[in-house]
Amino acid sequence: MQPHAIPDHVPPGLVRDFSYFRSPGMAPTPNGNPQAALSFVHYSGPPVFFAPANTYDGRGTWVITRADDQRRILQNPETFSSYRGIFKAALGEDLPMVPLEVDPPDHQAYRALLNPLLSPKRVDAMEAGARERAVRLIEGFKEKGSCEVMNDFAFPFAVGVFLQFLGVSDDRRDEFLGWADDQFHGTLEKRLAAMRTVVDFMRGLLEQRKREPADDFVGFLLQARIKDRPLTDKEILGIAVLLFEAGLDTVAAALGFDLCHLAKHGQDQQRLREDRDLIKPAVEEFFRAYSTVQMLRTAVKDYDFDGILIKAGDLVSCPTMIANRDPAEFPDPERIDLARDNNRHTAFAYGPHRCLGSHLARRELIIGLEEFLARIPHFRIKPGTAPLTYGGHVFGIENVVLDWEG
Amino acid sequence: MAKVHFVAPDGTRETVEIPDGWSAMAGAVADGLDGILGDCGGAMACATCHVYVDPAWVGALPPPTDTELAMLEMAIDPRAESRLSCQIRVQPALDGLVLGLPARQF
Ligand code: HEM
Ligand code: FES
Repeated sequence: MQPHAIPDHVPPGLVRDFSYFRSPGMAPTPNGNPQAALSFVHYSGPPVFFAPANTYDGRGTWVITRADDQRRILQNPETFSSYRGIFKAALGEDLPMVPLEVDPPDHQAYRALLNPLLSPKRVDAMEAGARERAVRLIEGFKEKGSCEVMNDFAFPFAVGVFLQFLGVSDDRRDEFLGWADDQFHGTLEKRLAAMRTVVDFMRGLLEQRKREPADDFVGFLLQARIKDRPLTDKEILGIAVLLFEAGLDTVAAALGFDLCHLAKHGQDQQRLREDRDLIKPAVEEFFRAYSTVQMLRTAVKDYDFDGILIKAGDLVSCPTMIANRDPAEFPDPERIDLARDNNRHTAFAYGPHRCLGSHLARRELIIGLEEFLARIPHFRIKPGTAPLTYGGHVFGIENVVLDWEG
Repeated sequence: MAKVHFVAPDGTRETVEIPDGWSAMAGAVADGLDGILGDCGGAMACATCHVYVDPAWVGALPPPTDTELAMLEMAIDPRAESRLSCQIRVQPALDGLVLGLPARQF
């Protein structure tokens, strides 16, 4: 894809050869560490810069590196809108992801509606089912002495918990898994086809619930009222599809990065085995050090950012993996300290769109690591294999093959 | 300007001077206080600024809106005196306000 020309208002001194897709360590890399590969930006060059081809379709973006600066951008949705027409571009059908692509003030009403679905109490109620899924998967490969984390554990676990949340029967798990795989890891065509399939599936679920009401997620949305009117079908679809997009790949990738870290750092693994209470802070530290998401915003008016002109129409990227290694925010940011104190990471973003599913995500990671460590003896990366990490719009990891002695 | 006392579950007290018009959350975060996160910057989207208002002070605060009440369900261990500190606007009359910190914010 041809990179777009650098816009005239961007001073040449602020243009940097940087891309989430092509910078060193961003293309699929055996034994890579894509988050660490980007932290050089804190030590050389300007804290805000322009990367000429930094999206999957070759568009330029501003990159905001400092945690504090990112907060300023994300706190200002009047200027930096999160509406991007993600699905319009991909599917030719305008299906705004709700509430992610809705700006304040309208955003608040949708959030208020959805919050209770992912409250700590709801997550408590999901815990037993989630734990049972984790245990079943782990017991399924334990005797083999080896597993591939993403396919054997992380994805089936995240998809299973998601189906539980939707109230969809487990019979459909493999089907779902296939879409998730295509959607998050396939070629562009496969991705588009999978997106369409997901939208069609959710539409089917919606029609079914209209005929046969049930007390589940879609049933709830059909009953729900917002500003004294029911949700439209489009809104319900936008919500359901967003949850699929936001809640699967992220959880699976986090499990993959965390287990890969523990396989490569036997001492950290040992510490968690000896002190289960450390799992919780360790999960937070892994969220910080192995963050995967960037917040992408579009300026809807001109904005003076400490003398830098960000023009209406410019894309502004706030990568969590870079803010989370900001030395101004985290002492010794490259060190992974399982017991890090006062860990104010931004893995779940900042501002009004701050992750809705963070309670569930955290619980899934804690359950996943707890059950894995409780059931699998000391594990390592299987000799002769290498986990494959990559950058991109959402960072990820594949081929995490572990082995252990039975 | 008002002095706001934040009391940790173990009884440790930290006092922060917060300018008028700021939220208690913003003051705590600017001070680097451990125990208030404020991840959403006051948009009532995260509940990581949860506090327990000291019973003596509950009456001094305007009551929570419906949105705040609903959002408190996202906090860990909410109680009757729970508030989101991003919704507490500091003013001279709140000098000496005592806010209890929950054991955890997530
Ligand atoms: C490790 C797991 C996860 C990570 C790292 C993560 C991270 C994030 C981030 C960074 C955002 C902000 C995106 C932006 O502002 O552009 C976000 C938003 C969101 N997340 Fe998560 N997330 C995770 C898991 C989940 C789960 C499990 C769910 C739901 C079941 C979920 C639902 C959402 C929703 C609905 C939004 C949009 C909120 C809004 O616009 O108000 N996430 N997440
Ligand atoms: S700062 Fe997020 S709800 Fe108060």
